[in-house]
Amino acid sequence: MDQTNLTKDFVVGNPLGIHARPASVFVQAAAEFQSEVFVTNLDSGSTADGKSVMSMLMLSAPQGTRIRVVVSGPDASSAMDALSRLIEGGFDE
Amino acid sequence: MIDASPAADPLPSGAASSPAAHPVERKEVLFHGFPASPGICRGRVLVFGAAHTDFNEIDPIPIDASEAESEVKRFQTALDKTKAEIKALQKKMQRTIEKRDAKIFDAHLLIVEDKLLHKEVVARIRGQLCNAQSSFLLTIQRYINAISGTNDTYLHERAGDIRDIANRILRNLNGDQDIGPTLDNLPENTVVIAHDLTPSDTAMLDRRNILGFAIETGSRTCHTSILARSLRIPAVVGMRNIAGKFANGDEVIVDGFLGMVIRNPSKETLAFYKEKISRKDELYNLLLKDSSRAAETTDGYRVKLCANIEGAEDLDQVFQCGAEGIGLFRTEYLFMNTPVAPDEETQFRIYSKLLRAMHGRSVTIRTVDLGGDKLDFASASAIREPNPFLGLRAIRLCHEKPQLIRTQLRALFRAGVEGDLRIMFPMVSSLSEIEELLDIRDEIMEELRNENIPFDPKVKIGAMIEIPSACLIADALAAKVDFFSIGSNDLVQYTLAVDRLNERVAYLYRPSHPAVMELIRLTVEAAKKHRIPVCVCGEIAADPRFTPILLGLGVLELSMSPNAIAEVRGVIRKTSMLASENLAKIALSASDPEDVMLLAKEHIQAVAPDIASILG
Repeated sequence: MDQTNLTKDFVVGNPLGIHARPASVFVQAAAEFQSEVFVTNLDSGSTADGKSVMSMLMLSAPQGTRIRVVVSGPDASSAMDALSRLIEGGFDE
Repeated sequence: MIDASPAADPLPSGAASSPAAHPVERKEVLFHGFPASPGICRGRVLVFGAAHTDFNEIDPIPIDASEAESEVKRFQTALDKTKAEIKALQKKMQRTIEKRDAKIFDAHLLIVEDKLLHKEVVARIRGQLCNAQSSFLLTIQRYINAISGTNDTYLHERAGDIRDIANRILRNLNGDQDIGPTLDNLPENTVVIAHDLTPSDTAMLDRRNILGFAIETGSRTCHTSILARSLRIPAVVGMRNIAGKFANGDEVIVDGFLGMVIRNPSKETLAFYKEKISRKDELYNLLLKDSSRAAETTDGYRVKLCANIEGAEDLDQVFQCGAEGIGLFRTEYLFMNTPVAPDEETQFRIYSKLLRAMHGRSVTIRTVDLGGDKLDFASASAIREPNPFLGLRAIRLCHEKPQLIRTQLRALFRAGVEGDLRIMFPMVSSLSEIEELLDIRDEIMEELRNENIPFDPKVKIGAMIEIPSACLIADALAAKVDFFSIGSNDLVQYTLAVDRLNERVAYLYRPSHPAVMELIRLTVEAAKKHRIPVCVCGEIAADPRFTPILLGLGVLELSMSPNAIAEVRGVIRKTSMLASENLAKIALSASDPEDVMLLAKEHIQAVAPDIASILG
């Protein structure tokens, strides 16, 4: 199977940052895909598992934080598309 | 609303009320706050938000290596059980019209299902040979500390969510042993004491067992207070630093009339309240008997009394109190705690259901009024603003989020065929806003027509009058809309520049201020000139002391929480328009707003002494 690795950087745009609800929305979206998802807070250096809400909460990423999303797995590109839309759309907030 | 039965046996004490930590104190102590919801109750304290379980002092409890697998299994079973509980609770909340609060459980479920949490706990059980409880506690403690260590108040609240979940899991790990009650699962006869209850906390309250609550934050007009009144439970808010002065299981009286909480009431106090409760109960039931009678003054002026409601579950009450319609149906909840705004079909179903249930009686639905004090629900367009009350909220969102209002209007116009629907727009401050909204309305009707979707083109459109500028241009506005609805809470706060949520200036929040009276008079005058009805739907509509003043100003339509209707009807039936006009005249020119309230009270004392006594 095709094993793709994709990396993309973002700036958290929604005013409240990644709090519980965006974290939930993100984790739910990530769970749709087989690929592994990791999110790194580029300002603090900590990395979270994009499929764990607890882990995402610990990321502590308020508005303006630079984050890096790394997706790897067979459906990496569609996963990255979906997650990009979510982050760039401000988590539908 | 009022519970006259003696308090139940002492509650099984929670973990926080061990005798050592809280020495028994029998002395009666009185605490003052602001009365938020009328009624008197006597029950046992549950301090909410205090650590039911101390997540900071956890000793690992060692197990034998041979027990590890059975501990892992026990942990898994507890998680499954917790998941099932949350799902059941979510389903229960979804059955009501308010899908809103059910959404928060999605986040709760994700926490229970979290694979990292699971992995870490299992690793601790197997690797460090701790039992399931202590492994779980040590793990969750790490998360709680990390999250509550931030300065972000929003995240602080989320730490509360995690605590709530942790308590559930622990309860299930411990089998039947009750580790800490949750808001939806309270012991009998509970009075909740807390620093704060969010509106979704309040909505979640276990209605069978909650008798009343007292919180440190809030004011009479904050949303939690409004919810308490619609739940018909006594509540006191704005009580500074009380949470630490109560222990679980303390006996307590909440007096929602006077805004008092009495800890460990003495025999004399108990006897006094028992008397008071039975007298009020009697009178309230007597007033309810009149609910089929017209709200008519002694000199023949008819007043239309309507109900403010939050959801369809309040409808029984609406019929019981004899409301002639729904004067305010708030739709914010449909938009709260949900990752995406509800779609057109969902809204259409909710509005249709409500209209059908009302059997042709008028139903006024307010378009989404998010912002200001409702911002913490972090919904559709939660934006941190330095001045949320003066910021982007309600109809102002129609530029930034045009889809929000369009979807809602489509759903409303479609539902209109089911009954007598009126739509009102909150936060109108200028004529152009109304013109724009009417254009949007026309576009939507055109759309529906083209799509061959049935709708009611005759749905009435109204403006909420709650900003002084709207009162001052009421004449121009009245030419454009079908009705006015005065939202007195916001009108008072915008007129007097008083943040109604700020306890430090709350004393300046005076609805009887002559400036407010004058703005209402102007609005009524414009409405009369253009022959459109005007309703008052804020807090003052529910306060019997204000009833004659409002009548005197020419307001003949009032909308309030259903449980206030009996008293207001009672006052109207005993008052003349002549006396009302006199009171209004005094109110318009009074130098001290307090004098007006005294006069109003004296008036009620004279015409309806029984109702005056209910006012406490």
